[in-house]
Amino acid sequence: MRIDSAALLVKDPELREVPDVVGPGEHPTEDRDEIHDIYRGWRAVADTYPGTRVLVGELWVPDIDRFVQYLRPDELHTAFNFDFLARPWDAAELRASIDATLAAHAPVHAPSTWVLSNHDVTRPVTRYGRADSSFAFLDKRFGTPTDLDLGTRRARAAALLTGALPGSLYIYQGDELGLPEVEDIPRELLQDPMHYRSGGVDPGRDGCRVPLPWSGDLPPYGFSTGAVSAAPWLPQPASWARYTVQSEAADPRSMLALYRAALRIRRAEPLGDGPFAWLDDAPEGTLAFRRGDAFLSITNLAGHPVPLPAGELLLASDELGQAADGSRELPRLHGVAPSTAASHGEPSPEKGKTMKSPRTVGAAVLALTALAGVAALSGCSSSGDQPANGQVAITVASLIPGSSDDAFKQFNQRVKEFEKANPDILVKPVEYQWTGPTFSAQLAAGTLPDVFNVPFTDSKSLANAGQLADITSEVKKLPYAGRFNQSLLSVAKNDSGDIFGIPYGPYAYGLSYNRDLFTKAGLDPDKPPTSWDEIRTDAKQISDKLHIAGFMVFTSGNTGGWALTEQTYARGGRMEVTKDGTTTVTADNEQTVDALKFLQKMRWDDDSLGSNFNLDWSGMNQYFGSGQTAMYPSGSDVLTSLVQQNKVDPKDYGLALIPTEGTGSGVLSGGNVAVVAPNASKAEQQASVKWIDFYYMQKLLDKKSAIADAKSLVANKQPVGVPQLPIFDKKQLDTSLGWIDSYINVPKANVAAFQNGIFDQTIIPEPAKHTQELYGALDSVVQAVLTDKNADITALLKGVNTQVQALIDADAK
Amino acid sequence: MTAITTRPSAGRDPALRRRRRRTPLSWLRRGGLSNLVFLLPLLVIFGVFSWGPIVESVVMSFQRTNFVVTQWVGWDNFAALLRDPLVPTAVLNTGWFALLALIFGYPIPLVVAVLMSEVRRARGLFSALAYLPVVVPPVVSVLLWKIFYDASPRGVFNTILGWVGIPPQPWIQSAATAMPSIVLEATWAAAGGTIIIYLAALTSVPPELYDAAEIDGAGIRHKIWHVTLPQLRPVLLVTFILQIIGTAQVFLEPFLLTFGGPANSTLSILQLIFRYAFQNSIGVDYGKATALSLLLALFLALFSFVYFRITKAWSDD
Repeated sequence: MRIDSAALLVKDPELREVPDVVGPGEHPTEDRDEIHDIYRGWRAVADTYPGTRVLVGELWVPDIDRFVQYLRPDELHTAFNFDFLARPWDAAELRASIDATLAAHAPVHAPSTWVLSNHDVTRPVTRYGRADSSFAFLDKRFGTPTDLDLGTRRARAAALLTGALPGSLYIYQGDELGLPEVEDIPRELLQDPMHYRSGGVDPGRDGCRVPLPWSGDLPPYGFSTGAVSAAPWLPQPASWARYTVQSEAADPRSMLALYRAALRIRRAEPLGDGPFAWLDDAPEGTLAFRRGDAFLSITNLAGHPVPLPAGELLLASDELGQAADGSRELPRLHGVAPSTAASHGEPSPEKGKTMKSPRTVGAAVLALTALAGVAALSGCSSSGDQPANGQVAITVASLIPGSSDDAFKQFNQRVKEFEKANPDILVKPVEYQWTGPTFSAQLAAGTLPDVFNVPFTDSKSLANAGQLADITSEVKKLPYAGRFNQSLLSVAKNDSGDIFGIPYGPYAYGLSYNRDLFTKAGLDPDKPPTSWDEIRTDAKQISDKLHIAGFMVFTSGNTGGWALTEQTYARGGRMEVTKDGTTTVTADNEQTVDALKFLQKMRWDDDSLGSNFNLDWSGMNQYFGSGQTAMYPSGSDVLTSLVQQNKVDPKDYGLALIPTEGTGSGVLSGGNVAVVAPNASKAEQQASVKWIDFYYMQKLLDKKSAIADAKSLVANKQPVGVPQLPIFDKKQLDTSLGWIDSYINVPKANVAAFQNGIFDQTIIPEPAKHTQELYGALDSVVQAVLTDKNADITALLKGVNTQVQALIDADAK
Repeated sequence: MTAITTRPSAGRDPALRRRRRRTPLSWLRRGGLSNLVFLLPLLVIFGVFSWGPIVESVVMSFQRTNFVVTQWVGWDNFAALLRDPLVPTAVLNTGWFALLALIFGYPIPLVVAVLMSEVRRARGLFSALAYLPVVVPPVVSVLLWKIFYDASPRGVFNTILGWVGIPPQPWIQSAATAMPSIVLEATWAAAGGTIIIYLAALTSVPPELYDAAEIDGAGIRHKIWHVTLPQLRPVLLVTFILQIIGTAQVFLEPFLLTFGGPANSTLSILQLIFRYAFQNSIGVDYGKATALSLLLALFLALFSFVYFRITKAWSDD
């Protein structure tokens, strides 16, 4: 029999006002000494019945000594212990409460009770996710922020903690489902008088009283069945489908599964009774105690993972981590509980960094461990071979400097998600752009991020030169390691086959064009040119009508040679030929000559290339973004950068295939390799590969990650659906695109010309040897052709041959 | 403190002074230590940021290094320079730049300074106007000129030329006009500083020399030729060598305006050094870069030495 408000049965007969200072037993309505006579009477009645009759008091008596007076042998059998549920998520606080509770109950020989919440109290999942995780009626306010993921992990740990304590365990209905406090009940539907008495500032207690979800996908989730059509008295949230008993019973990782497993162990061990002793040499910040000789409970509230002693693991509330030495450890429960101090608004977004306040970081995982013997315990405190804060911090390349705030917001969101999933890794994003000039100096100075990216063009040379970290073993551990397109993965390997990075975002050359300018020039934007002759006539029409460049190619910063190589491939030529291990530079091949003659005609006969012949990658993007050229060949992924840097609207953007003509013709491909700085420690390298896996790979492999990524891209106004090539195979790419189909915001029709044709093209990699020097030398040739009417193309190309061949031959020596 | 207060009254006795000079103790007593302490910050700063790197780069010119893997290659870097066809191109370009800069950049400030010294009113305003380009950060002014040099008919300069009926010029988009365009910008940017130096020198010319020349019947041309220029000679000689050293190391303007193009027509020596060190992405040619730097430094040192030897007689005159 439960006695509600068990301390409030007796009033002062004189009905005095409540004094300012109330001594023990002096309150006119609460906890008056006369009440004990009543309970003695009731107990006598209860004892007259056969079998087990139990009196349980709902007692809100803060003074633990007065509290246990109700539990004397001739009064109530037991009472709820509200001290424990009011304490914040803090090892010292909880330990003090446990100690006080056990000490007070011992003399009256009553069992202690443990409960995490009841029908008056904020749900533990919500409460433990708050900056202030203690409970007090008077502090309840609307809009107190919480981190439900953090709260859930803590609530799971708390469930196992209470489950291992001696005494009676109470579970408030719904806690076993991990229900959060419902904080968005429409105000007009609130029932609790506490809300109305507070003048509407206190949300009241309805949030923990919402009818339980049992089954199904829609309210009332099986709460009302059959003919009952009336809605429950409080509305159930639409998101509760995942909390139903039905769905949690099917999920081994659910809160319900955890509770059931914990209760089975509690009965089997048996933990309701028996000795209890704190473990003296437990790591700081943990609650570790022994129940008998062979049972150990450890709850980690420290700000870092703690090692787990040897023994059989019965149950853990969270996934175990692995210490550097390979032993198991309890992960720290990592996260930032939203601070109420930061005012009533949302937590302030921090750009570019994620600060962690150690004070608000809680950590919790509980393991019930059956130990082989006490001897094993001594090993537990000495195996802590961790960095001081137990975390590995890595810096990762974020975006190109100058990218929009929205793009950075999106990136930081991904970082937060990663940190949530990997509490032992701290990620610091830094702006980064691959530039040859600064790379070596950054490497020498140790200022490179731990994770950064290099183009396919350079990755192999860097790997061979020892300028990247060898991550072969980490990459091989990835479940999809064997599925990479091997020819792509080879760009990330050195000559001996060790792996130095993970390729991502492969692209093929495409013809970017401005649909708006096409329309203005009287061309059909849905019919981009499909042959080089059409490019020429279209360009002429555009430049005649609009007095801008109809077409333009890169010319400087080595991109001139890069683009000329593509124009050569498109006609079936090659810049370098390797035979029997010897590489010959063939820059003067017929097709390159043709490509340059083609440019020459457009420049000097048609005058359709504009007037700026000094355009590198960024310069060209700017040129295109500001409407000064209508077409240019570039990587098929350039739209992302055009949006982030040059504010190009995907609606005005079109991507077509570069026309391929002649035998051996194909499309130049490229991409990036996510690599790790060679000076990163082993732990940093491991964390780095985890990040690469999360940020670059999972969106291609895992539906949930793909959607999460696409969602945050869309939310931050970034393009989704920029054409790229498959990193595994086309099927995988199509599958991953299918997952995010509804998020694609790059008009499909605008890139259809490219997308529909690219898989029928031969994809050709970049020239292998001294690629950058080759490109640099070709820059000058392109510039000469565009600025000197009488440029001798063949002589210039022969010069390139000599120049680059000398470099290649020097290597062979 | 102690060293100063216990210093002997003075070295009146020559014999005593000689003896003191010889021992470290007397050096100490004469304040050597405090001198050294005062010098120390300077020595450290120059040592760490200037002399150290100089020595380092001399060492590096005999190596092949990417800062991770380093190997000694002896004279290979220098030999490679001799084989590189871009080296003569860069040397000729730099010489061409120096010559053009001398033709435009050397006399123009002098003429402007002489004219300004003749101006009686609002001289401060003219000085400020002349010096303004120097105050503008070089990168800003170069990028501004890059916009002015837009080769389309809508470009700033081409529009201005259009008003007087001159057709659009390619400016930095053609090998023939790129270098003069760069010199024009460089002269505009640097003239202010030189003008101020000349102005200061001009005010130090004693007016009675002009008076005497006038009495002898000299006109303005004679006055400038026979009075002003000879009086300015020491300053002119210094600004000349400074200009040569400066133009030999031209980098910023071609780097930002043309990146050495079109077709290497504005590739300067310093830019070639930059390319060796950085442009091939992997940065394995630091050795070649420092080797070329070393050669340039040696050439300039030698040139300055010879120049001062030759002109010593003139300026002492």
